[in-house]
Amino acid sequence: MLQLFKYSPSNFKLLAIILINSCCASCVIAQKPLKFTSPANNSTVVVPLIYGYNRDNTSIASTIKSFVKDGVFTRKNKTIGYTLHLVNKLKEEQTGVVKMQIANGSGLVLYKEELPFTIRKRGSFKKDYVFAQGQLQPGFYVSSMDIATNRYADTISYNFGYEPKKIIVKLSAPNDFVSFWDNAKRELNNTQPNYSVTPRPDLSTKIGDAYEVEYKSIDKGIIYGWLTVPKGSRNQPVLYKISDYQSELSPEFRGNMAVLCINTRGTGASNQNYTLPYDQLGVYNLKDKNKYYLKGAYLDALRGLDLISYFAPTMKLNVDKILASGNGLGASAAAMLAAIDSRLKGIIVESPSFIGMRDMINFGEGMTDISFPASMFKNYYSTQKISKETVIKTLEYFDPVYFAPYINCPILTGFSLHNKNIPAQSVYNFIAQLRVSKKDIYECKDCETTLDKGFYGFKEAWIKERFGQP
Amino acid sequence: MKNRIIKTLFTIVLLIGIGQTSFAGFPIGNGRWLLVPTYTRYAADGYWNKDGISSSFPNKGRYQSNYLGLYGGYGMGRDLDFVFNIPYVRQTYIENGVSQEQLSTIADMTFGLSYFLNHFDYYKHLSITGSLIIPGYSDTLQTYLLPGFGSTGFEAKLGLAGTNTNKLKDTYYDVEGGIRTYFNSGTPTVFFANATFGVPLDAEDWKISGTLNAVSASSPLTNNSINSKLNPFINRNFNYLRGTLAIGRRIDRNIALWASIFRDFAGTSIGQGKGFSVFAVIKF
Repeated sequence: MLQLFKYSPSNFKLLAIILINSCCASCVIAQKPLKFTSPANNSTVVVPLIYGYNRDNTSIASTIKSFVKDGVFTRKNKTIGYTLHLVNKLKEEQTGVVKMQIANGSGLVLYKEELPFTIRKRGSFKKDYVFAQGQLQPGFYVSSMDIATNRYADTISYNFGYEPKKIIVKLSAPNDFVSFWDNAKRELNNTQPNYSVTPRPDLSTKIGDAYEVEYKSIDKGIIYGWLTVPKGSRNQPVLYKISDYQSELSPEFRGNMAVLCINTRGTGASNQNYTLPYDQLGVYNLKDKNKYYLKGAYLDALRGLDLISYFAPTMKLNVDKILASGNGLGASAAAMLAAIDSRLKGIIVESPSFIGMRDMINFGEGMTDISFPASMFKNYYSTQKISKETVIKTLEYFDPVYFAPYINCPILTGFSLHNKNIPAQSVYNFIAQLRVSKKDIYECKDCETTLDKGFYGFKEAWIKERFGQP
Repeated sequence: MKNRIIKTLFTIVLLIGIGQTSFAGFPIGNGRWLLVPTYTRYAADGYWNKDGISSSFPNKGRYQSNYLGLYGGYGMGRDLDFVFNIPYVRQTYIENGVSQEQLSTIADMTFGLSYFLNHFDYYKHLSITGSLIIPGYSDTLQTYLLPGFGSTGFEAKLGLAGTNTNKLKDTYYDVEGGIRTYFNSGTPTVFFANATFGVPLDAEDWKISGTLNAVSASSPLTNNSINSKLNPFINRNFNYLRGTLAIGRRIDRNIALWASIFRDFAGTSIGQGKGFSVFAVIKF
């Protein structure tokens, strides 16, 4: 097979791509390096702004405009690409270079280009990056641009997609995935919870009463959170909110439902025995899946669900109406809960962050300014003498993509198509694995890391719908 | 003179029912019910003539109406609601303290569908509603206390309702405009517009709102030139502007109780009165 290839720079590149791809467990399709068509040959119509960068108004203002509004192209689009627009804010000429590279969802760099430019004082510079049709395969791509002049230096990146719904996803969970989580649940059950619910009249409002909750979880986890219960006599549905990665939740009062906010280990007051910096908590004990941080964090969340059941009779909580909701890491934990526990009426997966780990890490590696959490994992396997593949293999036990087929309650998934931290492809992979029929997908086309008002409006309507509330 | 009064009275009866659904621009929600039982009492001691000049009814005349209505709907989906309104009216016209005429009947019922064209960011909703108007009373030709035009018809309206999330945070609005047209010849075309603005008080348990209703009806035919079964006493050309202030309190998750007062501010060929309503908004 290899003999078919005679050495030439282009063949060598293609061979390298095939070899790299054959090593990946998730489906990666070999792609030819991209070639750019001449902008002069394309009648490019630039439509609304997708991204605007104004990091340094004193020297260069940069914007990127996609040829389509949402930055997601289909076969119907005659031109695929975007326009880089630089404006010289100074009253002097600037000379510099744009170093651009494009990587696919596997982190494979498909194209590199260095473009020198000169912008006269108060002038501007435009560059159309145009792909011919047929060069892209379904997926998401990240374009990183290092822009440097004699007075300015910055790196910007831009995500765009091509036929993302046609991405062929071939995933296989670890062989012992189910038994791993069965054992994990058993381990949690063998850990005394020592539940404690303490009234906090100082935090209570006329809407509801506040309680501080505390319990023990595996591996010396001491977990804290807040429960608020509306005043009144009827049993209350429960909105169960799980914290994002080191993002503390505060008590939340709602007039028509109880709200349990749990800060998983390493977050807020739940940092006893887990006082770790932001870029180290997520890789704590990563070498051992049985001791890894995410296992503990997920089981902290599961125990929160147990707490609801435990206190349901005394706190007037309706165990038939529990909705788990999370943002970022909390979203991944909610997906895990729905997969391994049947007590949920539904889950809200909002901007999941620890998801599609392989693509997330590969995508991050394809960027010149790698984002969290991919940066954390890359730093870990670069410094700990452990292979990337080994890290990914461990992370797969905690990847919502592999929980997805086991989820059998209604689910609302909201995500951004242009999140630099988490590629949309990772979330698409998750969605593709869902087998449940009642699934609502909210794609935010004009968002980056935070979703828009439309999602939060729909989320509120969705919660009411699930609880059957007016 | 009497004809004019009679026609005015008729118009009063007709219009009480319009505007009852001005709070209905929000989606009911998939699989959920909305019921709004309403009681309205209205009284008019005078009227505006065709030039908009106000006069009292002769002989201490007074028109009174008691209206019982059930407005409701069912959420057939996130974007589609079935809506209905079933009104029952009891009307009396009194002169010198003596009842001159009395009528009790089911008035014009409406049954329709509301489709939400756009939820925008889910804090505001654009809807279009089409309803069939079905008279709930038999043909009582030559009786001037009539609860409607005695004709089936169709109502179409466009509504925009929403909650403000930035400026005037948590206040809400419901604006709608529409047209009522009837199938029988000689019946007028009625244009109407309602605008409501509401403010939550006290952690949303209490709300106050203000509503303006404007109605304009016109028919190309003169009253006595109609070759139809339509009651010749019916006034087909009129306009009016009404203002309403309402206060409501949510008493639990599913029920809110409201009370309102309203007054007619201006009009032509229409009664000049005021009244109050009490209604419950029940969602389940």
